[in-house]
Amino acid sequence: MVLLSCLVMGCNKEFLDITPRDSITDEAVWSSANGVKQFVTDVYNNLTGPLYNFTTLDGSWMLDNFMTDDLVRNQASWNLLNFTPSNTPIDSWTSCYTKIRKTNLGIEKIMESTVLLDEDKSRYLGDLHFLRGMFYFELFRYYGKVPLITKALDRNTDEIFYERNTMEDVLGFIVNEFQQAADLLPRDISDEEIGRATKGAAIGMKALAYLFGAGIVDSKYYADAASTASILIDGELQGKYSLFQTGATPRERYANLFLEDYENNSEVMFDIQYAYPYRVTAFQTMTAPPAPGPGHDYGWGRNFPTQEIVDAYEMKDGSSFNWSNPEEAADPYANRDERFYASILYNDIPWKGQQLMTSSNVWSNNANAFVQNAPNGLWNTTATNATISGYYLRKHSKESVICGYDNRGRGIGGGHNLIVLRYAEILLTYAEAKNEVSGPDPSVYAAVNAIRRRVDQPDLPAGLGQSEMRERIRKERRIELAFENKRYFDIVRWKIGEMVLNGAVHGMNIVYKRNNEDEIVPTYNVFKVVDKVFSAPKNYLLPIPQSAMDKNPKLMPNNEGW
Amino acid sequence: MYKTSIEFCRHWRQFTKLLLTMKLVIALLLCSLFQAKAVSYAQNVTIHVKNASIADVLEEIGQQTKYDVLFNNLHLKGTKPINLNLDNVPLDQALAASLANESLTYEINNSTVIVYRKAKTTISKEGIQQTRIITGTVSDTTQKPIPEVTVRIKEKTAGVKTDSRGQYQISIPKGGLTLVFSAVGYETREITVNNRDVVNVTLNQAVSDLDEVVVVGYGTQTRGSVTAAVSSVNGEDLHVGMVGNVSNTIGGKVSGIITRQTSGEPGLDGASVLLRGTTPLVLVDGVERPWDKVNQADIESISMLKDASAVAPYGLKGANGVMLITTKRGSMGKVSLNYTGEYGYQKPMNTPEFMDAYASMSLRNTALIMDGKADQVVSEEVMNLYKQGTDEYPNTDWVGNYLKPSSSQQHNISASGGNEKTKAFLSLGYLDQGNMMGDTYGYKRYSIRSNVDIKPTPITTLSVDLSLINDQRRFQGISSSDLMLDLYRLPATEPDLYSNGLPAFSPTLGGSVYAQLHSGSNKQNNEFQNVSLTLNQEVPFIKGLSAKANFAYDKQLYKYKQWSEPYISYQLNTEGEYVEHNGWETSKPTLYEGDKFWTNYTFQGYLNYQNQFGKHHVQALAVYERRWGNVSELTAGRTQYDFAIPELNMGSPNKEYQSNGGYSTSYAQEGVVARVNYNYNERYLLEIAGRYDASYRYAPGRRTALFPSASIGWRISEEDFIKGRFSFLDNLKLRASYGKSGNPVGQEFAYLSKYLVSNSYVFGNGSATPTQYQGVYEGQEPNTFLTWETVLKANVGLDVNLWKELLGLSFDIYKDKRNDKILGPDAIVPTEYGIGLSDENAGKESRWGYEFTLSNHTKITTDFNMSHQFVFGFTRNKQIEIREAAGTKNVPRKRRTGLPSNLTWGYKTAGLFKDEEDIANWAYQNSSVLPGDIKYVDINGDGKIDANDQVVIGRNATPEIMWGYTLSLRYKGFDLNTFIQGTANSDYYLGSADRGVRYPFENGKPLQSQADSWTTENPNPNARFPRLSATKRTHNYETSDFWMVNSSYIKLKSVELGYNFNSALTRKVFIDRARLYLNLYNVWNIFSKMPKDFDSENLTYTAYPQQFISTLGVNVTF
Repeated sequence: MVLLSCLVMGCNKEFLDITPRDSITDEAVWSSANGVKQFVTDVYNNLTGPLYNFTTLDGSWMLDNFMTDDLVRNQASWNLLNFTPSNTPIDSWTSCYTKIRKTNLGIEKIMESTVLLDEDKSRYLGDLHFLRGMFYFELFRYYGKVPLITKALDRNTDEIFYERNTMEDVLGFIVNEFQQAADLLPRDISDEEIGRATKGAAIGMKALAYLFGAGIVDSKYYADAASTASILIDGELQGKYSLFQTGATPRERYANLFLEDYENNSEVMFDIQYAYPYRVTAFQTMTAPPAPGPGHDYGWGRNFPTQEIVDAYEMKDGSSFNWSNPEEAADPYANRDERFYASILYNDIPWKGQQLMTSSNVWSNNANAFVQNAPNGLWNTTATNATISGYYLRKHSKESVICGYDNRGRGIGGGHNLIVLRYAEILLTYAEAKNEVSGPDPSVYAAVNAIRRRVDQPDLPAGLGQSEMRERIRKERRIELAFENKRYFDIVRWKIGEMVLNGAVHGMNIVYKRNNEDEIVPTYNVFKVVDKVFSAPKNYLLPIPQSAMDKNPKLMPNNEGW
Repeated sequence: MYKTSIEFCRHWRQFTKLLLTMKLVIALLLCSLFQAKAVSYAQNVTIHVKNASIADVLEEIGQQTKYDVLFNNLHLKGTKPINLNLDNVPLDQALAASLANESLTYEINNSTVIVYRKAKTTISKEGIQQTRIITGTVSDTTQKPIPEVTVRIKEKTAGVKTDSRGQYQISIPKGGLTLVFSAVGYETREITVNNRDVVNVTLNQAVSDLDEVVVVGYGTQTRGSVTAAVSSVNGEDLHVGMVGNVSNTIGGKVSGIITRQTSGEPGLDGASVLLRGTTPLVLVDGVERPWDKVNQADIESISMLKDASAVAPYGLKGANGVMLITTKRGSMGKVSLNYTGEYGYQKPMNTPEFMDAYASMSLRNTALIMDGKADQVVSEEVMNLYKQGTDEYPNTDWVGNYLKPSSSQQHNISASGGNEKTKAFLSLGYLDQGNMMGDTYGYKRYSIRSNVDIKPTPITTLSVDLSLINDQRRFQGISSSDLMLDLYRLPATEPDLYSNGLPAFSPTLGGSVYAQLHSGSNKQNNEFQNVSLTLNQEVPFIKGLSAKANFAYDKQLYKYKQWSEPYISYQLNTEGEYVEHNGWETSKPTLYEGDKFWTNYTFQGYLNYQNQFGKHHVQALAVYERRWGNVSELTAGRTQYDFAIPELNMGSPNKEYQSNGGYSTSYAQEGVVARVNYNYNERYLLEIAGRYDASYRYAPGRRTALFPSASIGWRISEEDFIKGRFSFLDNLKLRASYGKSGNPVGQEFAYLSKYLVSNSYVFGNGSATPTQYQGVYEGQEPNTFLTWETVLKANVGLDVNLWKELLGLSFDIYKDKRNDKILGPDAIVPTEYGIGLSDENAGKESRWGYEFTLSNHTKITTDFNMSHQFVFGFTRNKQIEIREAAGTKNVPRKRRTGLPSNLTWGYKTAGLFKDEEDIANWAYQNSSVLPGDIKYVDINGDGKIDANDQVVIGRNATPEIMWGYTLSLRYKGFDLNTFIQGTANSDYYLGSADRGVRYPFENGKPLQSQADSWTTENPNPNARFPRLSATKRTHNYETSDFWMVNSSYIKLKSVELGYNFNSALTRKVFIDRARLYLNLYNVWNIFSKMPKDFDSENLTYTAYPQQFISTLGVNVTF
């Protein structure tokens, strides 16, 4: 009775004091070394988005797929660049500024922290400066002029409407971030720490930032790009990174580099970590051919290499492939650069225990006729995920990985890392920058030839002029770094969008016919897949999302043309 | 306590004194609670006295019967001593005998006997001494017995009540007398007995009975005294055959409600219910509980509390209106047993009609040619092969293969009855609804309810309510919603089952629908356990005062078990072999299961006072309420089962194949309610109510507030200047109310800075074993000022009854102003700010609307009755302040502020482009436009189409108007009930049907209606669909009015024909009453502007279709 009376009479205040059990307080995070560690871990986990993402099932996990001449998507509308500020397939703006706030907050709090050892403090600051550099570099490459916000804003006390900074300022900030990171981060890390940024990664990213800046801000930065890259080649960090050479054949040496079995190898300078079953990738499911191998083994075939990239692979002897050469035209996939075989799935090759047919027809013994629907064939009327270009993507993929369901019986998923920066790119960066600064000197040759030698391509011919060398390096970059999210930014840097992205991209329609000898033989027909439309200067930058423009009028005007 | 005498008091001062002592009463109540003993007591009286004072006799009667016998000593002054020799006579006889010689009379009110001096009329001595017994049955016009009818002799106030079979027994003085039969909801009838011993009576239902009891917040009021906007509906009127979910039965039945059923899937077919445009708080028997699974057969009534006055007792939760569901309780009399059995047959309605293989390939060929891809065209020869529908060239009717008719059944048994000490309502329900997907899919519900009222003493009522509901939704490897999507997108050219019975691999699906449908198992169980204990104690010293304590313990357990089995499908290869596609060798079964518990506690302490002082009627209520509870969840999973036994303990011991999870949260709320009603002579009505409320959700200091309201009513028809003159005017009442209430939305704990944890990044990947680390991140910026929304509500209403039941009208018009509306402040903080922001009380919104109910009851002949009811509601809101971004706010065409919410912005269209010339002469759209594409209108006239040309093109998908019309006809044993439902002012955007309608060849398939697309062969500028293309033509899929359709509808929702067997005949087989009926539900779309492939109610194209249900039912009462 007393108890009931208490209930009725006494409205004890504690009754309403409920603490949420799904969160912790600000203080709990920053007053412990573990809290800080978890905070920094989370920022690493934010290395996602269009550039660093193997997890998203659809959309823009790989921007190369619809914004370059290397890949087409099977949803044709994505291949056009005719989106609008209110409807853009890529919104790095929102996600990057969210991540930047995290780094800003972390840097501020860690600077004040009294719970960290000095050593840990500088290491975490190094991590966060590196990551902040990465996020601003992403913004810079997509949007050019962006507001530089370097503190965790509080709208009660701070000015929160920022204007866009100049290109020079943004580039300078990024370079400075990577430099600060390089100063704070260690050269070597323990096995348990694999995945965290290092001095080498920071210097490498700085070189990339300079190279990009040289293309779109001022060519004076080529010198900075070259000198920064050379720290990794013959400077302070010489020998820390080297080209990956494990594999019985040149093809394997190149293909293995990207596989889970060899991840975090000597060539890798920074990569996004995936590990089954914690952070799983959907990459192979997204790209593999749709028709079955054994088991649940089928892909969604989202991205198809174009005839343009196929034709760009050299012949084994170093010459260019040429359709007007009858011998080459009759058997276009013979004697090509080994990287072609490691990167592209094409018609009538063994794949997962069967012949992969990408032709538009195929002989059926059953029907005793040519039938239209090869399972993985072009324009298969029943398979929505069949190729639209006559090719599938092979790079990053391991033939034995089961796509639809992995061999452990759980849904979609793999665990191979996504390489963001590898030593080969440093060599190519150095070669390109150095060539721009002082022409094709022996160090330029050495850098490019090292890459070619791995795959047994002959050395570049001696005596190339600066512009000839420039073309050679650009071709090498396109092949070596194909399907690694580099091509679009190269197109932007080189300002070749009007040339390569304005007009048709092509595919290969292989039709089997019976010849005079009554043999069934393929005929090769290049056809137009889609007309791309590129308008300069509009398409050299993405539009800032309309929602962001609406909220902050100081961002006006939007990038030119949008 | 039994021996009491009090002074009648009609003086105000005592009333005020009473209010002062209220605080003490709770304690008194509790005392009485613990002193009450479970004693058995007699109702009959045995008295042998000589020369005893009446006071002593009455006291003795009280002792024996345990009734409180109240009298005023003044009234007994001058009475003579009496002699009595009574052996085991009923109470009223004893009383009559005791008072026979005096001008005293008595009244039995619940378990209280009040003795008072009677008016001049007297009954002769003979009348009392010489009594006889009259029996009979009271039934309604459909021969259904009516329980709880008061039967009394005209001149007397006391009487008896009919039992649950409608039977009564009354002793009356010999000779011709008049009996009065009255019951809530029925017209009162007077019958002259004459010499009859059996008097059977038929009562007519009163269409608008002013004495009808209406359930209001924390209590009841009579219809006549209500000043608030309250509409209600009887449980019986909600019955529409095999409809499993209560929410689907109220639309159009009660004014102010808008419902929308967006899925027909059994177990998931609950409609969204909007009361005056917002989602109401719902209470079952006074407690917030899950409600839509409540067995319809158990519902006594549903009340909708709409205006400030009605919702005031709910304080910070009342702003969106309140819906009160009251379940049935036992009534006095013999136990009656009721059985209802229903069998239903249902089939999907409004399913899309797709092209077959040949037609869709031929359409695609046309598209390819227009796209300039003639080389991809499928040859006529091949297309003809598909016509045959062979294994190699299939022609699959996916929709026809899977969307099949199904059957359902429902059984309810209930028992009701009681005596003065115990009353009970017991019910048992079983519902089994079939699913179009087949036997392995379906929904079952078992429900048990036991509402028991016990009177341990005449002034104490203890109620124990128990409700158990268990429902189970089961399906196999794919949920019906996922399946619907597949059926609406898989091309007819892909195989389903091969001719040899093997499930075929569908490349679009990446598997087999059939195999998926027959693999694995999924079960979702909900168990609702509701317990309420209520103690109601009348306070003996003060007339009209009672106290009540209610404690409710509610538990819900949601249990799911998802067992996935790998399945095998086959593919026909070019060699003519059926090759296994998905094999066992790579995957094994997995199990996921989880238990989620909700536990809620509610305590309510009531003080009720009701009294009449001359022409002053006073009713007062005070409630203290506390509510708290928690939710917790546990989940676990295993993969790699070697044996197909879906239990956790049969799973792999390998930790890598095991998973688990869980969480819990709590909440708490408390409040004090006060309400005072006063009326003068039932003519001038006044109600003041309010609640002081507090919630855990907000920061200390922002948790409490007062939500007051006031309302007045004027019953003009009671005024003398009306009464005599306009006899046809039975009731005319004006009502008005104004007040404030709250809505506790917005994030919980938004006042705290919160860091959240996640499973985060992996380090050490590579040579060492990778480890996943926990990460912590800033959740959102705190807002210590956040509190509830407040709504100021004004309402004016009018109730009219003319010519008795010939015409009834109830009309309300209202305006709500929502202040402090919770908004995300995103619009005013730049994206670059970089962190999720807490909600803010920054918005303002107003809403207005009106609603009315018109009713008519016509008795055409004694055997033929007809009634109509028309219910109509309109509501519209306006956003006054929404923190709109400058980008739209400053452009008049784009401005959202000042307009209703949820409008759609897009382009206006002007048909399709005829030809290149038409394109050239029209505003520039974009470079890829071709003839047959949609023409967008250049609103701003700048010669080009861009975002600046977007205007409002569509209304909210939720209708602004909903109405319902019910026609009931009764002729002898037959009854016919027809219900028509309609909505208006809503639009539906076909965008959700992209795959089927807007780009049918990309992961979708064409509808038959798409034959009317613009093509070079059909260059019709008014074609239903724009230029055909094998790929998505982005230009045509901008948001535009081309794809916007009016989704208003008028549906013949339900028709029911019933036959009531003649009771005289059925009684011979011990059946009091039997009714056989046929109900048809979702009968006919009388009007719809939607394309026939779409349903006006489903908001998504691939929703489980609405079902046409025909039900055969029988209702038997024993």
